[in-house]
Amino acid sequence: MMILPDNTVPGQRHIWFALLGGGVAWALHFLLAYGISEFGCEAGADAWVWLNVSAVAWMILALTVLMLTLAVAATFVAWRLAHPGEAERGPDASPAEAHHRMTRRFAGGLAIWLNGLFTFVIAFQTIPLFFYLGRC
Amino acid sequence: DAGWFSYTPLSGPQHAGISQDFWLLGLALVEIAGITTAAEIAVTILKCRAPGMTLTRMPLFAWAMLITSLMIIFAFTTLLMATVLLELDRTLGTQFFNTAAGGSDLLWQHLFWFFGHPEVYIMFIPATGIVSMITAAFAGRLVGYTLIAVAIVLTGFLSFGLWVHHMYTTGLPELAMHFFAAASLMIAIASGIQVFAWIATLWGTRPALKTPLLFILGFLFLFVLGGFTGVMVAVVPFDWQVHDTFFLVAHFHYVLIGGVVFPIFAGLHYWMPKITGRMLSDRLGVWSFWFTFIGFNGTFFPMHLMGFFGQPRRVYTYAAELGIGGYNMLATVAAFIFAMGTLLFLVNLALSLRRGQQADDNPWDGDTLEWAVASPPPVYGHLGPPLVIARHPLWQAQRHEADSAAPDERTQHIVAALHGQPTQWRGTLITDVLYAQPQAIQWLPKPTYAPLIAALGVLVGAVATLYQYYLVLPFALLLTAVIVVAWLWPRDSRLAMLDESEQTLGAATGLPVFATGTASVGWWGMVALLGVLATAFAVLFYAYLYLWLFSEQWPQDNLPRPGLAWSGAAFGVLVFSSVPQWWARRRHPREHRRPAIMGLTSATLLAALFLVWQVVEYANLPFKPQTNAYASMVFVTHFALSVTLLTALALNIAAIVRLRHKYEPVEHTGLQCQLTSMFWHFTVVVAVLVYAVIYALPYLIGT
Repeated sequence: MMILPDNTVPGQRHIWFALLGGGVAWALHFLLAYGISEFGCEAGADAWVWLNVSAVAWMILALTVLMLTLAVAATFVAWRLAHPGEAERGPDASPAEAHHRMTRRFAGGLAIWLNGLFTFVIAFQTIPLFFYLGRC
Repeated sequence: DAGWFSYTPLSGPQHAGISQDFWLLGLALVEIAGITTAAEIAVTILKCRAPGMTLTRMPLFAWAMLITSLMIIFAFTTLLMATVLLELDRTLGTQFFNTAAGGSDLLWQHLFWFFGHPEVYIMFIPATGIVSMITAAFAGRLVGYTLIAVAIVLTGFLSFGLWVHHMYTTGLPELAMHFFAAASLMIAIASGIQVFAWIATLWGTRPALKTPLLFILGFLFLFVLGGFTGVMVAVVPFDWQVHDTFFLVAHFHYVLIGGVVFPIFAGLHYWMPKITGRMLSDRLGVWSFWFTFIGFNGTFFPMHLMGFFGQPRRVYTYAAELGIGGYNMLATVAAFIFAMGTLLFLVNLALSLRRGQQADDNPWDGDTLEWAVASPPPVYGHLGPPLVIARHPLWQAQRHEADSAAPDERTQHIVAALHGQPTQWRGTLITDVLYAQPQAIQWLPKPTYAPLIAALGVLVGAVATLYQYYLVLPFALLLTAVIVVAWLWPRDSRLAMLDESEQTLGAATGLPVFATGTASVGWWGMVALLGVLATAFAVLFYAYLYLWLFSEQWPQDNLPRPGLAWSGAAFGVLVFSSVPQWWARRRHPREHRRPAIMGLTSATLLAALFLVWQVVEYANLPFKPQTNAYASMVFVTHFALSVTLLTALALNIAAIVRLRHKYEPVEHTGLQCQLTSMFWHFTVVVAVLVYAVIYALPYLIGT
């Protein structure tokens, strides 16, 4: 009786991180920034101020730095996928390996654009914060 | 009674009549149908692609449908929860949306538009898939494949960050509104990428101006206009001026009719020859296009001006002194011209079916696999799995394909072995997500009336609920459950047949017929289900926190906070049940069943103990679900947890029953035990979150 073990195609986690990391970073940034601004402003958290910046703004700034780091990390992993090292640039061992390399390079190229755009969007949608640093 | 968005309090129990319940129940069923379909489409695209169809070779329509399906899982679930909560308000007297009892009208708006905005992209993204396919076929090339795929994924994510732009006039904090304004502007980047890619695809080519392409060109013009007004209304102060005027009506008709209906007409003219085997008349098609295009613009362009001049939406008349009577008359006349366009299409379709020209296999010189079979296709589609070695399979022999690669021997061997096989049962090839390499052969069910009967049971239950004959509901649901279990329960005869096939077909291909883990479509289906449930509970937690935020006191009306001691012990017992459950899975045998049976049984008994505690606790609470919004949230969240746990118990019991069936090889139960464990551990995680949010948080944050 043949039982197929799980994860028969190895080494895919970094590909999924490259493909989805930027999107997840954007989603977390957006939902948490909205949550902090709605809940924080309503609860009066903007009353606490340091260096003329409210607690709400500080939290969102910290969140932005964290999520930009995640998005940039995903972009970096994508870059490595699309621009493989010497070992992967050699002649293909087999048609299957050629197939895998081509797919990984495509995934890397797609992910560079995707994560790059998500990084830009995260930065752009933080711009409104700078008009509301001291108050909601 | 309350508009398609059904705002409370107008849709609440004090105002709208039974038609509102009809809408809510009907919508709930449609949402469930949509979610299950979306899960099926997503898993099919991920796991059942033709061998060799890597992500880089997937048609853009498949990319579009994949992203759309994943969006549906999150968006429709949110609306499903919202409709359930509103129906509970209307029938059982809960207070989620009743501001007088601590509820919130804005909560409904947030939940509705969290669905409502992705919904328009759920309509639009498949249309972009159609546009990409038809544009490429007519141009004979496709420019910007990677960027279009990027744009589709970007749209899918960003569409969930726009919902508050439907609520700019509700008095939300300015900072929050401007996050959504920024995101609403950003999504234009994704649409812009696609539009420029399509223009680049057509640029410099000499495509035949047949009807499908005419509708595509019409789409490009109209959607871009709609997109312009979209970025205008994304800006908060501008939206404040035009909100609830006909300017918005003009905007969304340009993006929805221009952006969705025109591609649908293009697709109908493009694919109808494949479906029916007969061509539509191009002459009638051209007439249909021009009537539609001119009629549409005559109807909806004046609405931009009507809105600026002050004509409100959702009001059946307008003041004569506004001076917009002429625009309204133009729109009315043009609407009839628009209708003529659709009528001409229907006439074209009817004439084509009767005496249309016979269609070739590939009348448009398309590049994708549907054009490789006859028009209309045989019932089996392809006789064996097609082997894909290029992004444009049907062009690969004719033109230079940069990404062509010779297929590996193993895949060629498998494809050859599966030609016309299996013969005793319906099967399909499972491939992996990234590389589309064969992984397993999947059994598919035969045609059966079981789903229809199950659906009738659901219908009877829904109608009974609508007219408040609640005694009928459990019987209707029981009928549905029995039919579904009977349909899905693996028969010994089927298992024996698959066992035999594994010796023959499995040996010939080197592929298993019973797979577990990520090689199994069941695993992916379970992940989709857990995604739905996670979204449902996320909605409940959001609603709880939202209502708390806007309450002066929490719990409201001096209700007592839930006790931590007994509840902590009960939740602890439930969390501990994960241990025997995990152990059962780990010990899931190749030879011995007993340890797995013992583990599953222990977990089941511990969970049953938790359920008993829950019933006793909630029967003795000093408030009812109808007391106020806090009480409603507590009861409904716990009820949702109970239903989830009962489902987990049922899955465990089913697994135990199969394990105890001595004549069935124990290896057959591997996938079932795996999926059961996934569901169990998910339920325990949700329970921990329920404890944290409902029990612990009021003590940590204070009232």
